[in-house]
Amino acid sequence: MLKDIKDAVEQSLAIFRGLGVTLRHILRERRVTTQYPEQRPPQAFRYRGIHQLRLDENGKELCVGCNLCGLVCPAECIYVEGAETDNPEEERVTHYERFARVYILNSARCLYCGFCVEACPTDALAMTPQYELGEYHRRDCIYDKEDLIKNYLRWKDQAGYGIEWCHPEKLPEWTGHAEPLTPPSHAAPAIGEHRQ
Amino acid sequence: MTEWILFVVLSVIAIGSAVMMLVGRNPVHCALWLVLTFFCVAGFFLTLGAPFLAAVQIIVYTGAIMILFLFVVMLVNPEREGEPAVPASHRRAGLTLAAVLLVVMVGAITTRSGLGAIPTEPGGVTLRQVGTALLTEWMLPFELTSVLLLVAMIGAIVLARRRIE
Amino acid sequence: MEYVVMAAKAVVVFALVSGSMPFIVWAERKVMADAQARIGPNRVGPFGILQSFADALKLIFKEDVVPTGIDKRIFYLAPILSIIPALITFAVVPYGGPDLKLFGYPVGYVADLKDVGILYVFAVTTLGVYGIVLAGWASNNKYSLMGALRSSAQMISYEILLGLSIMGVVIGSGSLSLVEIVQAQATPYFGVIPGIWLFAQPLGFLIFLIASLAEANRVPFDLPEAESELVAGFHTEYSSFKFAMFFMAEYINLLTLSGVITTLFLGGWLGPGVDRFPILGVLYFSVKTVALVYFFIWLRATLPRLRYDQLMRFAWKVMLPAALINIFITAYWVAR
Repeated sequence: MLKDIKDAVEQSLAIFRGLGVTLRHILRERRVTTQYPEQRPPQAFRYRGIHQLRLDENGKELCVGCNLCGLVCPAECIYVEGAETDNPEEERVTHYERFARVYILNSARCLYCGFCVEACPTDALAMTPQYELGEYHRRDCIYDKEDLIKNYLRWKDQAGYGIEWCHPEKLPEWTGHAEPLTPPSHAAPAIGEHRQ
Repeated sequence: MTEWILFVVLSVIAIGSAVMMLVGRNPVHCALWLVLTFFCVAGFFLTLGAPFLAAVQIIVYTGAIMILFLFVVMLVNPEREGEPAVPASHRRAGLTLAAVLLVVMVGAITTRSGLGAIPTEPGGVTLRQVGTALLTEWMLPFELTSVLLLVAMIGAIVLARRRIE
Repeated sequence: MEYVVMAAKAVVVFALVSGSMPFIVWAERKVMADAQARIGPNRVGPFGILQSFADALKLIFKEDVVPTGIDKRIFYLAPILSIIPALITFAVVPYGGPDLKLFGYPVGYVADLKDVGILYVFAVTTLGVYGIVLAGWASNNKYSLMGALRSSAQMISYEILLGLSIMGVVIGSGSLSLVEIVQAQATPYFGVIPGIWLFAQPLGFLIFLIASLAEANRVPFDLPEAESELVAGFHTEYSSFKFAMFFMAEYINLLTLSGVITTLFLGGWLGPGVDRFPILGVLYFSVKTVALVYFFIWLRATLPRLRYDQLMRFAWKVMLPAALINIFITAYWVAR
């Protein structure tokens, strides 16, 4: 009986303690909400958003249409048709004879794992920090080569998965560390090495 | 004049809904018609200058008793189980009892002198009068009724209690 | 003329009560957000104050889904039965004293039912149960029915407490009229402490507060619509405007119960200076009522939901004896 009363009193006091906790939060100014369209949450510098097909400093495409990305893709959302050309180098879209005649990526199937970026031998494929990928139609989720190059042009100065080993000089800025990170061991050789 | 109009309107609704309650097939609908009847009865109390009784009528009958009725009807859901056939002997017994009740009621009402006389008190019956009447003149019936209710409650508990071996 | 004044008062009170509902919803969302370190609605209008209106508009224009296999007449009747009692309870709650007059007519309350008063409040709140019970039954849905049965059991149990807990106040005031109950609180205790019933009837106040939370289906007694187990309880099958009606009824009930608690235990319109400027009474009443609404929202941000058997055991084995003890003590103190 005495214990019951003690319990009841303690439990009633617990209600007031709870009220105190909520009151403290009501009075405190701290807010965790991010006002999304205006404010944006910080993103990792290796964020895996929608893909981009990079161009080199001369405006030539880096992709040679080897389809390694398509092969490694677990969701099979990349379709590449490579082709070869005999045109002189000034008229080619790449520096090589080979180029991607068709490059299609379905963002609705993609699971943003980044394997394709890792597989790319020419570092042509990388990812952007863009995550706003909602569309009204499925057909708008199909990205062709032009779209992916547009992505590059739009996001080229920003960090994203696959960019960090192309621009090691920017790493301190992105990571906040003075020392550049060592690139992942599986990373493809730098662009210059390829061309030779 | 207004009182008579109210009386007629309320009576028509009360009797109409009582009939609907009797002939209805769906038990929930029947219960709701009965609620409407109770409301009309509360209305009668109001026109007779007994607002306290009207309020109590609504609280007790529509607020408590009919809700419990509905509760049971919904739990049991009798419409699904089909209507059990009523034996003719039960029908006869029921009719006889109803007839006896009718005779008794009509007899009681007609032999009382008060029939036809509407409110005796000019300002209606006050709460104070109701309370005084209940606890002085009608003390014994009042207490007996409460004992009856208590017995019913205890009986329900005893019936509902699980048998402890 | 008297009837015209009465009708005018009723219209004004009706408009104010139903008009305040969007703001209560907004306040609830804002306070809950504050307690959870969020921001709450802030897009529609300044501080998001028009959010409720946007929601109401959205609800009205939404498709009104009427499921098959329902009892159509009762399905339509239920939301109406739910909202009418919520709206008409305020008719007897005095928001200003009898001295508050406009063109010689008392406008401090819509009606002062002398011998009924508080009983009217109970009679009307008991009707609110019908809306919920019938909604649950007519929906022909297990979750709805469970919610409805729970709510009827809960509301009947707590109505008894609601009635018993104010007996102390009624005995002390010697009247059922809400106006007279407020007037009985005018004399201060020992000349200094405000004479409100909260101080003389702390137990009654506590029980009434808890019971009214249960009656309004508020947290921690919101079992009829326990989302985690019953989808949405009795209004699972309701959509569009019919859902909006249940929603409105819930919040108007909250306001009404706050008004009733203010009247019964917090001295209603009473406050310093009311004798000379009766209009101040409306202000005092509003402030007290709004404070109570805030308290209810604050509670909602704090407490978890009770379990069903805890709820019933608490009502019958703790609150009921406490209420009876309260009545005996008060009766002894008055008869002494």
